[in-house]
Amino acid sequence: MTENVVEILLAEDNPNDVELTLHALKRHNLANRIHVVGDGAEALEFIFCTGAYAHRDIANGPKVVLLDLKLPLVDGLEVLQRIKGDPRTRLIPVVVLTSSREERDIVESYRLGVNSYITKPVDFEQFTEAVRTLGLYWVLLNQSPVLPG
Amino acid sequence: MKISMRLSLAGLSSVGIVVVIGIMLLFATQQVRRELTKNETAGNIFHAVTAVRYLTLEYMLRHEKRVQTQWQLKHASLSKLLASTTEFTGSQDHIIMDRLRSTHERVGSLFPQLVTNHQERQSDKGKGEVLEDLDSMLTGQITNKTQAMLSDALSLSRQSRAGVLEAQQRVNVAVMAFSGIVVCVIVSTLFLTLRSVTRPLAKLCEGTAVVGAGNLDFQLGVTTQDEIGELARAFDQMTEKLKTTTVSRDELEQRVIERTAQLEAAIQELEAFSYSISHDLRAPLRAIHGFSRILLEEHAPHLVDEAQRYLHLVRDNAQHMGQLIDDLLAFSRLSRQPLKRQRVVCADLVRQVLGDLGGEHAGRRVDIAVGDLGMCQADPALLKQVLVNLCTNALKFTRQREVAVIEIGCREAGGECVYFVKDNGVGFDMQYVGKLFGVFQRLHRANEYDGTGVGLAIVQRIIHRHGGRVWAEAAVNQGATFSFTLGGDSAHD
Repeated sequence: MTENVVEILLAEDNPNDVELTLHALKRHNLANRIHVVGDGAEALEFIFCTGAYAHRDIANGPKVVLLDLKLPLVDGLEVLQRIKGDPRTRLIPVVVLTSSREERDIVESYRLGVNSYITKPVDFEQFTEAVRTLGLYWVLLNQSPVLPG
Repeated sequence: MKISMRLSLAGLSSVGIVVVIGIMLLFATQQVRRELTKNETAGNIFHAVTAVRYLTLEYMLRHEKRVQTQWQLKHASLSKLLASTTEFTGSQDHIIMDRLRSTHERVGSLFPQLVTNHQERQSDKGKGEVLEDLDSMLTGQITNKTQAMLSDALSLSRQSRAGVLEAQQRVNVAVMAFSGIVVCVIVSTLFLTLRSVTRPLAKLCEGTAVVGAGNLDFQLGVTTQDEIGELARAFDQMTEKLKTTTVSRDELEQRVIERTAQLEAAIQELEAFSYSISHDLRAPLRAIHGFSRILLEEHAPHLVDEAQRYLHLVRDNAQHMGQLIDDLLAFSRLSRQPLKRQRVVCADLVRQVLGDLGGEHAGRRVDIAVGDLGMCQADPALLKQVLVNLCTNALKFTRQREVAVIEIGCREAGGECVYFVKDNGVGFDMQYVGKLFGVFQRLHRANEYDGTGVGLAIVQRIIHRHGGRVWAEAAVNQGATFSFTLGGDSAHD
């Protein structure tokens, strides 16, 4: 697998949740296109192609970000703010992963421009629904979209 | 002395003085009348004496029988007048009257001598010269006597005039003196009253302004015993009391501020706590639930039945614990949410609730009767939660009935609206009613009826937040009725 085919970035620090999410998506052959980062700082490095990911091309970023809000080092909400605050990354769809229906997180995420949210544990149905509402059908297909122009 | 007392005393003394003046005027009038009568009598005497005097002279000139008769008649009438006169009671008057009477008698005895003398002169011409002298002498005597009488009558008249003048003067002096006293009394009373009113009043005005501006240490300190003094003391007492209550109110406010700060801190702590529960407590549950599900779904063929059953139990319990956490969070969220009271059409709310719960009793025979519910003042979202919980319970505990009968209604009791949800379900023993509304308290076994024991606690919390009451009546196997009020201004209309 090359880094160019990374289409889903999963920012999640809890290894159990990572494993359950990967398990849910693996059965549908999506797991090999997922890159997992364990904290907010690494997530930012991956998205903005800095630090360990300096060799990546920012224009070739992830097609969707699954973002846990409670992350070490840099908080999930801050990661969201940085993505949505930068014109280069503003258009990347971000799906927030929440562990409850605590409105505080959800309201704040929407204020910062989140595209959707999924309650953990992430199962395939929820993921499908979220991706469908974002108009990202092609993520579910094992191929890249044909971009017009 | 009180102002009203002072004013009534001044009034009384003025009235007394006026009465005295009146009496004096009456006496003076009587005296004047008496003196006028005297004056008239003196005038009559004067005229009568004058007449006698002229008749004497006329007789001396003409010596007619007619004049003699007239003289005697006049003399007699004067005698009667003098005898009947009683007005002159003063000592001086008395002396004059006595003198008048004796002179009159003397004149009365002189005139017959004059008549006799004239007759003698007619009969005896020889003694003419002697008798003529006697005639002149007698006439002179009568003239002198009557002259004396005239001057006496005049002096009587003068004295009576003087009496009138004296009476008038006395009355004038008295009226002026007493009027002066009345004026003095009124003026001094007015002055004293005004002084005792205006000065403390000005002070009172000033005090009102000072106290009104917030200085509660101000005291008037007026010590007079009149009404203004009483008012001033009442004012001081009022200020004192105001000061006490203000001090205690300030303390109270301070305490309220402190308690509010403590409460806010506690609420923040609680919020942080529930947030961490919702995140941290859920993570291991997710793992337990997720992995046991993977085991069951993907590795079932390698597991013996007993192992599969245990795995199911693990998964169900993890799910139940997740539900407990959700309910607990919902319960704690209730305290933080502000209450948004508004007009609610209860029937609409009940319709929504029954629509939402429709799926829960699919395939069962359920009779739901909704009575006249009217309008109420409540937080619609919270009231809906109450109805959802009560209706869910009613549906749950009538599960074993062939036909479940549920009644939702409202009745008037003691001036307030009592809403109720009644069912014909399994009910409960009233001796455990005290536990009914406690968090995680359950009156039924978990394997009979599912639930976390938070539903009624939530109902109670919501009703209490509305200022209402909630209670239950039931009997084992004879259904249960849950009733509640919405407190305060939840008028049914």
